[in-house]
Amino acid sequence: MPLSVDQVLAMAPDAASAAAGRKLSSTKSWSGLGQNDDALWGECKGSAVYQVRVSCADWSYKCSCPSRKFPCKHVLGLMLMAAQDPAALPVGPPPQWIVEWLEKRQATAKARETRQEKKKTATMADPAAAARRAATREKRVADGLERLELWLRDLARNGLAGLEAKPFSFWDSQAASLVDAQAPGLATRVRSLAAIPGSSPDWPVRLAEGLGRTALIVQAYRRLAELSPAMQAEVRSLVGWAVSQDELAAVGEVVEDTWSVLGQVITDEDRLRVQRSWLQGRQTRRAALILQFSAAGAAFAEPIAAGTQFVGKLVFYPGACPQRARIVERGEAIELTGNAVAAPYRRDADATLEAGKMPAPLKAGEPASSLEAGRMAASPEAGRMPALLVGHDSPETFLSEVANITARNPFIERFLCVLNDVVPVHTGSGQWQVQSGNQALPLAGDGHWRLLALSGGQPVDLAGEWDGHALMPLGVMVGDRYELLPVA
Amino acid sequence: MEAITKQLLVGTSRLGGAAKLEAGEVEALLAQVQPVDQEMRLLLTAGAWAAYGQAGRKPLAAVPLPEPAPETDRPVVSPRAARILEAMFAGEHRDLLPEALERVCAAGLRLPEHLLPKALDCPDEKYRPYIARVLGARGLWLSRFHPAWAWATMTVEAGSETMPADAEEIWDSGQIRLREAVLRQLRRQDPARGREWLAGSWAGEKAENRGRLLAVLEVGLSGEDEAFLETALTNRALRVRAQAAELLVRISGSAFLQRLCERADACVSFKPATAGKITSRLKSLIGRKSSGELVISVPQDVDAAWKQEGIITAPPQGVGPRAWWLSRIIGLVPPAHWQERFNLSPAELLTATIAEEWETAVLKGLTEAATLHDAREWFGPLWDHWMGAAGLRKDESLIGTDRNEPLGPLLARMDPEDANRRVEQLIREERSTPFSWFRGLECLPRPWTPEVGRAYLAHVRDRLKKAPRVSNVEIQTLDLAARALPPECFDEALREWDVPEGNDYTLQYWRSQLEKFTEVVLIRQRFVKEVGSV
Repeated sequence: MPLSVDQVLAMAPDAASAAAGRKLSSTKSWSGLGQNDDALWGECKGSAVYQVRVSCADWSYKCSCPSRKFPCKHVLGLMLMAAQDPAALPVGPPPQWIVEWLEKRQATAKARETRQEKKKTATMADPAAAARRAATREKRVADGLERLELWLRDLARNGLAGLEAKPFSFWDSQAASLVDAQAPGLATRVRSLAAIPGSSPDWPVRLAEGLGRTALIVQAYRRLAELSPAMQAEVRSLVGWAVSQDELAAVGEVVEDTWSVLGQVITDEDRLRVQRSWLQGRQTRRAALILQFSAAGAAFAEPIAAGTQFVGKLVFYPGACPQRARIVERGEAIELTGNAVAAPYRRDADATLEAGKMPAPLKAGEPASSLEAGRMAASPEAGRMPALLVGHDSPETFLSEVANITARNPFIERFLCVLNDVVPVHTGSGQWQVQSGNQALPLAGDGHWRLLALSGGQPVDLAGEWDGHALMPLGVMVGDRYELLPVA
Repeated sequence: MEAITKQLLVGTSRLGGAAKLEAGEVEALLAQVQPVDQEMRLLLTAGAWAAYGQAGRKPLAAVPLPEPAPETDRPVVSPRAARILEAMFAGEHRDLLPEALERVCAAGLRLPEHLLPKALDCPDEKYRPYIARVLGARGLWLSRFHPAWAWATMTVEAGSETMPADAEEIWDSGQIRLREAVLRQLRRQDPARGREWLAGSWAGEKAENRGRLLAVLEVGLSGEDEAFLETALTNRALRVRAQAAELLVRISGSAFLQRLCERADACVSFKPATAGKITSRLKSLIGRKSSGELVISVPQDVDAAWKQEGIITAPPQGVGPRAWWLSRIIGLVPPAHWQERFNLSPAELLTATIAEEWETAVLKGLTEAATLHDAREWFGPLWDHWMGAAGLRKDESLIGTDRNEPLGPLLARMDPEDANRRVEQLIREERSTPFSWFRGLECLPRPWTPEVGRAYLAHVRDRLKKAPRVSNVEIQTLDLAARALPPECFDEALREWDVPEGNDYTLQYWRSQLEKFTEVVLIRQRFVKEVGSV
């Protein structure tokens, strides 16, 4: 089992599920446990007997229980057991229901492909209809922006003071109107503004910034034609025009690398959960942000576990300084340590499907892909792999990178920040910073005791999310291991 | 940005004139936006400044770095052990923490770094001494950065062999538990100085702390403490007086002990057996040879001095005041006093006939006295007498509010091997005694010996097999056993338990208790496997 217990627990939708999963992670509640290269399975006895299965390829799962939490406690229990005590799941031939499930998954994947093909041909077949649809939506978006601007003006006229007493519905009704106007990007933005009033002593500044940025997007969208193609794409996506998969495949930049998932921030906005996963390529040092949304407690479509790494391809959404990406192809996820080498994904996907087999992990030291034949082919004998976290040596160089990116794309508000050799310090009264030499960056939040404990007061390599004001630490290197930090 | 924020806070409707914008650059940009009103100008400027601010952020100034943690430290526990501990710190079976942490300490390991904040935050004071021993150098280093974690260093220092450097500070302002610990250490090294410390702070101590601190004088107790203890005998609080009395009787030749013995002698005298006496002949018929008779004469009332000196309290319900006084007074007198006075061995003295109305009071007093004075040669005979005394009244009225008194403390004082053997015997014999086997189990040190564990499990399995539907005390002992069984018995404890099919209340009770039992044993087993059963 390449996943660690911490990573499994990180997948839990809430603390109660994690605790319940833990309770189910001993063999006594289970029967018919087993695993092979493709899947883990077992039957859990709850109020009925539930069939639980987990795919080893991408940690997707299915359970026959009626729970509406994803993953449910049975899935978590099974994965925890596999992480803690792999011997509890004997390797053996899968029962019929597992074979059927795997077959069905493959069928679904095929069906999706065919559907996409069909859609593509359909769109090509009737460009006039597509253009009509786009025009209708343009009109709606324009109306929506009109209403948003009116609302913003009202706020500026009546003043922001007292907004902390407004109910969520004050923001939500404006957001809902933007959803109706098919501008979901702005809708999410307005909803996230609702959390700012009263949240900290400097909330008026943060809210002024947030409203100001929203006004800028509205202006920029109105004058889209004056912008460069890259900025056009950026602004359109901020408003909420989704880039279709085909479009993305056509124009997006594809980067192949061993990707480290350095951290994950999940925020709850009313019924919508937003997940930000920060990735860094070990070769390219490229930062990538994978955004996922889920409504009403459903699982995120792509299971991404913080603290893992995988070999794979990401495609970056077009824009100026592309940051947002999605996963195109990937191999097995393994624990994020300096020495472990992630197995490659199988290139010939069709062959994989036909054989009905998921790729087998490579042994450490074997060249994992053509890319790794270069710098990363280092076997343990041949010497160490390049360090896991390589970033900025000082706060100053990081901030100047932020300045550079902002100059090219003023709409990027969050950055992956990797710092080498910084010392965390508690400067008193709940204030924290990380230091290097005579410079420091402030840390967001006030509970960084775990970071301090892990550092022992020595310089550490650290990854975090910079929001323009402060750094939220996501993880830290401890010896050869990458330790995730609790994200407040 | 601040100026703009202020204007936005107030709102343009209250601003009166035009909004004041500070930036020439932004002004130039705004000129391109048409049409633009006050409100939009403010908002767009705020947006532009947000981006400018983001691009122009400067690093903060560094502060002096604190001393880093020591580099050498004990090794940390395995990740699996760490996860079990993490769950315990989070509140799952938190009561297993002391045993688990003790095992970590015994194995020469410490807590991993990521658990340190949780461990240091542990709200329950009773776990802190265990936590302090597994923090390692890293944990102690960390604790110095947080005022609420100051207990860690103090606890480690208070528990060490040498006096901490800041002992006086702890004594002056520490928590009561830590103050007790430093006082105990000081008494070990310099009893006179320890007494002076306590005497110095005595007047200002809280009433509830006086008894606890006074009890520490047990360490290094000598005749020099007598004067101070005599003053404590006049304290208003009964608990303090009783504590002082218990200490004074352990100073041989103390005036208080002499006064006490005089009073006791007035109540108890011994008449050697004379041949032909009916009772002794009867007793020899049933195998108990009486050495004679203890003649009891308790006064109808006691004088004020007795009461004041802490010997006398109101009797528990159902106990006559005179029987109560008698048991209290015998409970303080060193048992050796009677051996000398009547020239009898403990066993001989215990076979003496006693008038029925006083019998339990005397026996209870002697048991308490043997425990208090650590009179080991009495332990075995007393225990056997309680257990074997044919015709001993089954009445537990004298046993007091704590149902384990007085045999529980006696058992706890005994040599562990003896204690375990005796309880094991109780379990095996399954007969009715004034002190049941399950009470014995409660008093045994944990973990139990494998012999006790096996005897217990065999007994409970037998009960479940023979009378599964009869509600019994065995089910209730599972909670205790899950926590006290030694690792050697884990496999046997986890072997399938056959609860018959059925929905009777008792069967369901068996099932639910056994489920909890198994869960706790499994956790302990996993932990022992990870850390070693050292």
